[in-house]
Amino acid sequence: MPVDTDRLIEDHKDLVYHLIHRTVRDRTAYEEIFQEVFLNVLESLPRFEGRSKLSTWIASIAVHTCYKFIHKAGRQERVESFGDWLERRSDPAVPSDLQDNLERNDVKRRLERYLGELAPKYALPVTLFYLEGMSYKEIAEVLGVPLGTVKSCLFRGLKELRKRIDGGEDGYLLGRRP
Amino acid sequence: MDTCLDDALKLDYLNGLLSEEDRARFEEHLAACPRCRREIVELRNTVTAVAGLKPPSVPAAWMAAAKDRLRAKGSSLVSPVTGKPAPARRRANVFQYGVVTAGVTAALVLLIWLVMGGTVQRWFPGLSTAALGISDPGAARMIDLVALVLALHALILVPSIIDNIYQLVRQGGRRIRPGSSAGFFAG
Repeated sequence: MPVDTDRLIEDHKDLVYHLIHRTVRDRTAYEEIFQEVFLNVLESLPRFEGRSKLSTWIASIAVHTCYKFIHKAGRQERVESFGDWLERRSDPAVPSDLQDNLERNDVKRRLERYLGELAPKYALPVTLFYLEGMSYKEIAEVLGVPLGTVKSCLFRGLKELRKRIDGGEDGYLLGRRP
Repeated sequence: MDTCLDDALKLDYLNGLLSEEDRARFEEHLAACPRCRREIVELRNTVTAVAGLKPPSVPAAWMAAAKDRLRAKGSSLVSPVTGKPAPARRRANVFQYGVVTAGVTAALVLLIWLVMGGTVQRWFPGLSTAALGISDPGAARMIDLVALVLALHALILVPSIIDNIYQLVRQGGRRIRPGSSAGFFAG
């Protein structure tokens, strides 16, 4: 029975894209990596033994593919892309009646940025646990590291985020003490 | 509690993964330790904020290209449900596997024939039972028999040996090993 590739992509596209987004900074490479992940998944599918969930297994391939890309890109990967530069630009002044909503959105945008700035070893556990709903054990499988490493990276990831929030101007909105 | 709690415990508390008993002990410590209490409040706010983020969406324009590329690739691969390879690929694997197995089996049979037929003893007199100091014909026959049993045993193991070699060779190729991203965690 041939693989239903459309279904495979549809079911896992968001997870894969999310992991690429959290791991790789060069946005121009996202599409290529996205396709590469699914090609690798298809190629490795005969060896999938069903010992973990298919999504966990695909996530581990996505992370590894990103890792290979970063390794290959080397120092270039650290260069800020034009898209990142645009995102960092401050917004122009807005009317006060929209201020509350926009502030809330702005906080999310900043938090998104802080999460994007974290090293993958912190950003990935945080993303997989809080946004993809994976357990510690599943994250350990995805990242190929011991459970203790997952927990310490998750905790340090939260602390790093906290540090960035405290250092930024939106700390008061996220419970920072004045 | 006199000392502050470790990070793993704090994390489990934040994520609601502590048992009733541990949670009670943890909260007992929090009540007495303003430093830990402040840290937990700050981290809880961070967790709430992170959990409220919306995961990014895949640009719709990508999907058609990705699906086309994968459909072409996928037609020659296997189903994760049945685990059975698609016909073309399966034929190729069975053929390669058969050729290697037949070759190794033939080599072993030839070896047994050479040993049992006395050819080895003729070509390499040093390996004969006489040269090894075994003069008793009964003992010599026994040694031949043991050699035959060992050779047959090796023959029985051939398929699994070949299979293992195959797995190693295939893994050595363009294989993506799930969970091998430990490089992220170095340092």
